[in-house]
Amino acid sequence: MKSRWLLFILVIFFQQGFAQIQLEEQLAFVESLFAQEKYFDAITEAKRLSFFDSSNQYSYKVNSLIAESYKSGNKLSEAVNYFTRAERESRNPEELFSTKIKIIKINILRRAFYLADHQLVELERDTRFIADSSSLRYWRGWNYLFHDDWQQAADEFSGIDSAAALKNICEEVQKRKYSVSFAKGISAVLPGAGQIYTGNYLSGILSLGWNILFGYLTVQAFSAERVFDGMAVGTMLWLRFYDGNLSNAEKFAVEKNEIINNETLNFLQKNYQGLKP
Amino acid sequence: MMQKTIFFVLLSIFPSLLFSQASGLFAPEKRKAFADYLFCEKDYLRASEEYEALNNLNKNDSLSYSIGLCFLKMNEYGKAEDVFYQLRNSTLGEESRLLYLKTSFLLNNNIEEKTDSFSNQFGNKDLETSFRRLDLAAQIKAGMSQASLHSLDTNFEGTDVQLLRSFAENFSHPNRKSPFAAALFSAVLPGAGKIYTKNYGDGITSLIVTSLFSFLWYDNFRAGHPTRAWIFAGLTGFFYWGNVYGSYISARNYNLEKAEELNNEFDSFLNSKNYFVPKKIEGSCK
Repeated sequence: MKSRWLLFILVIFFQQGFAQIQLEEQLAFVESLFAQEKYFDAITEAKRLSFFDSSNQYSYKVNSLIAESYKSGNKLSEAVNYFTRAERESRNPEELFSTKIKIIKINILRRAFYLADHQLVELERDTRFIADSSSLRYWRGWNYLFHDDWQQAADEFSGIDSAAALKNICEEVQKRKYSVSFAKGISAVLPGAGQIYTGNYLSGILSLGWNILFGYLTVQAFSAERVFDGMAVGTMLWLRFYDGNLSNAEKFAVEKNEIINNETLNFLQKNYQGLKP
Repeated sequence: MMQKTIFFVLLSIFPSLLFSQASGLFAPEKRKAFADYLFCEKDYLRASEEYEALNNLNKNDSLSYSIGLCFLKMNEYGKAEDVFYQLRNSTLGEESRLLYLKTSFLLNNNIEEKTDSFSNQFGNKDLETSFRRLDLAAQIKAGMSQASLHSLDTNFEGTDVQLLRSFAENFSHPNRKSPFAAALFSAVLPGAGKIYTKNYGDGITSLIVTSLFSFLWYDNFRAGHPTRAWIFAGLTGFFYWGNVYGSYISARNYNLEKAEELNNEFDSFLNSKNYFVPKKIEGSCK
């Protein structure tokens, strides 16, 4: 009788073990889909595993995989949603830190500067992660970099040995960028000069021409004592072209800077070998 | 004794093996539960794929209906319309007929003929009411006749009736402005066409600027300053014709804006009331 009970217990144990094996096989399946970059299927199968994992033993792993898949598919909001779930299921400070950094990286990517900065400050204040201050500084540098503050990014990278290349790139970009206030300032003194400074020669020469023409007509009207004519030409034509010249100088400088930023970010995306968001 | 033990072992292992076969994560009943979970999680694309996989294994109306719901939720109205049309005579025929009409309505298709062919085909009282309301909503959008207005009283309740009457009135007599009239007004008096299309700021600006340049044009010719006179003549012509063309465009924009505003208001009213959605859809998720 005793041996029969023992057998019965063994059978129950076997069944439980089989269910466990199924979940483990499913996890391996999800990981293989992820490795093959089949992110849509990886998410479906990970969600299936999560649905049948009644004891939530794979919860951290599964939510992280779903989040990584969403991130790879550029669905950043969904990725943050699942990383947040993974964060809740993290089992130790290492997992917690790693997941929080992954959320920060996505916020950097989607240029949520203040949110990422706030999250970095929170991690810095957490006494469990004092040893990781260099890593936090590194990601703060990336946050500045995506926020178009290259000088600040260079300063953050300067104390980190592994980020020396990044620091040099940031300094180089800072040197290449056009000064928006300088472009506007020289256009205020000599119309068209700001456009010429940013390399838009034709626009600069046209702007100078229009301003000379309408400036001349305005002055001529006033000197002929036709004040009303002078006011009309001055306000409706000369001022309009003068103001347009200032706006253009600013617009061209901003556009050129955006081109430089995007070129550098593309370069980093394709060629930088170190950690990146 | 030995035989009994072997028999007991086999008896215990056999059901467990059977159980393990049926209890795989891809067993049909588990797949259905997973698909329902995805539907309730609003992951309609994955839910539809799961339902379709199950439907391929064992075709049934309920699964097809769920696939249609997924398409409807994903705003894939064309696909949803096809699915519900296929199901119009199935076990879920009444719900499917209603949802078929709803998707056609959402696709801005004319549903008048379809509603005629589906009338008197609803045994369920709630669905019959929803059908009548959908039919009336479609009539309102198509410009309901005065004679049909009384049917709003019998099919809708409370303040909704008054609101629907005003929608019906606005759809049948839309507040439109003639682009040609606007252009003509502005040709006679610069800015008048824009004022006619309730674009008051632009209208007054057009009037002032065109008048000012005309005066300067005339005055400079009179005073013997031909260069400035020609510059002001050019500017007058530019602003005058710009004002005529701008008035024509302003009237067209006014009509488009009003039509879109009315459509949006009507659609939000219908969405807020949720008139044509069978309870089965919303009730299945907790």
